[in-house]
Amino acid sequence: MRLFKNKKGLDYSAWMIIVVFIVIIYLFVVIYSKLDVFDVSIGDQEACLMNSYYEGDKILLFVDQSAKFSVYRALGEWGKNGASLPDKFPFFKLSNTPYWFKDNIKYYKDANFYESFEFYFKNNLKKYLEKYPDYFLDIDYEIAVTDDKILGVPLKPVLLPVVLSPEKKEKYGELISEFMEKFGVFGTGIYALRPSFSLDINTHISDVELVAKKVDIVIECMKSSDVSECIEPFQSKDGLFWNYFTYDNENTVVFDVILENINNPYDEEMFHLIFALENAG
Amino acid sequence: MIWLLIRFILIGGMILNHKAGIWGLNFLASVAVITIIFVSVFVLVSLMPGDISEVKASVNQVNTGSQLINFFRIPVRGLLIADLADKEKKTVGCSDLDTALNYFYGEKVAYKLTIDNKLKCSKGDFFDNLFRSEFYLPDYNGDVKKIVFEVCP
Repeated sequence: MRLFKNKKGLDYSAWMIIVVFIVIIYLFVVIYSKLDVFDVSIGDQEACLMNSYYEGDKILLFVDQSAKFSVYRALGEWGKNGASLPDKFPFFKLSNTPYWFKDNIKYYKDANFYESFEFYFKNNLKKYLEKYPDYFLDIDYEIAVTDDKILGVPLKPVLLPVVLSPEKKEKYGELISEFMEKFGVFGTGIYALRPSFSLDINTHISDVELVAKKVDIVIECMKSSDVSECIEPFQSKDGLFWNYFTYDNENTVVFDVILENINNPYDEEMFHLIFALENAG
Repeated sequence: MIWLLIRFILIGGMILNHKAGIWGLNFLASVAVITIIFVSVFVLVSLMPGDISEVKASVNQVNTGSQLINFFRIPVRGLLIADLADKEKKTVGCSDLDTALNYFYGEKVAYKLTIDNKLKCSKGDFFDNLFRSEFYLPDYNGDVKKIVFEVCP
C-alpha cells in the first residue's frame, strides 16, 4: 500500500479515480444520447404499422356493410322521390310528389335514373360513414352503378396515423385524423387506406326505365280514357303493380307502382315508385 | 482533459518502476473491466429483448384479429355473417357463425361474441390461447354496434 503512503502515489490514485469516473460518466452520456434518438423501442413502429393495417381492415368491413345498407336505403328514398334528383322535377305539393309529366313536358325522358340513384346512395353512405367512432370517414366516392353491381372508389385515401399505442390512438381520435388529412402528418407516419367496395346487388334500376316506357302509353291513353282502363293492360305484369290516386278534380294522378323485383332483405316494405302525371285529357 | 491525459501518461510511465505502480495498474484494470461489464449490461438492457417478444405477440394479435374479422364477411343465404349485428335480421344466426368456426378451427373451438357488451353467441370454455378482435359495425338503422369477438381454437 505504498501507493497511498507517499504523496506521488496518492496524487496518482486520486487522478486515476477522477479520470475513470469522468470516462464512465462520459460513456453513459454518449450511449444514453444515442439511445435517446430512438424514442420508441425496437420493433415498436413495425408493430404500430401492423396495428394500422388492422385498423384498416376494421374500416373496410364497416365501409362494406355501410355501402350495402346504403343501397337498400337509397332505393327506398329514390323510389319515393319518383327516381328523380331533388328539384329537377316540378313537385305536386299536395302529396309532395315529383311530376313526371306536366305542362306537356315529359320530365322522365331526360332523367338519368342511374345518376339519380347514385345521388341518394352517396347521401346515405355519407350518413353511415360519419358515424364511425374512431376516425372521421369523410370520403368522397366515385360510384359506378349497373343493374347488378355497384362499385365505389374513394377519390382520396383515408389517412390513419401510425400510432404508438392504443392509448395514443385514443388520444389522437377524430380531430387529429381530420387535421392530418388536411395538413399532412407529424410523428411516426401514416397508413393511407383506400376503402373501395364492390357490391353484387341487383338494383333493378332498368325496371324503372320499363315503367317510364309504359308511362308513355298511359299519358296518351289518359287523354281519352279513364286511368284505371289505361293501366289495366300492365297491371300485375313484369312484376309491376300499379296503384293511383287522383287529386284536383282528377287533373293530377299520383301513381304508386310497386316493383316486385326490387327486394330489400333488411326491410319488409316493398319498393314503391311514386310519381305524378298531369291529366291532359 | 488533454492536460490530464498527458500527466496521467507521464506519471504512469514513471510509476511502472515501483510496486505501487503495479498496484495502481491492477486497480485501473479492475475499474476498466467493471466499466466494460457495466456498459455492456447497459447496452444489452437497452436492446430490450422483452420488447421483441411483445412485438411478436402484437403481430400475432394483428394477424388473428384480421382473421377473425374475415369471418364476418362469409356469405350466408345472400347475406353476411356481419348481419348478425343487425337486430332486425333474423335469417343470420349464431348457428351460421358456429358452422364457419367449426369448419375453420375444428369442433373443439370455443368462442364468444358480444354486441354492445351483450352476449350474442358463445360456446365452450376459454383457455389461455385466446384470439380477440374488437371492431364496429353499423346496423340497417344506422346505429353503430361495438363487436367483441373472442375465439379460443
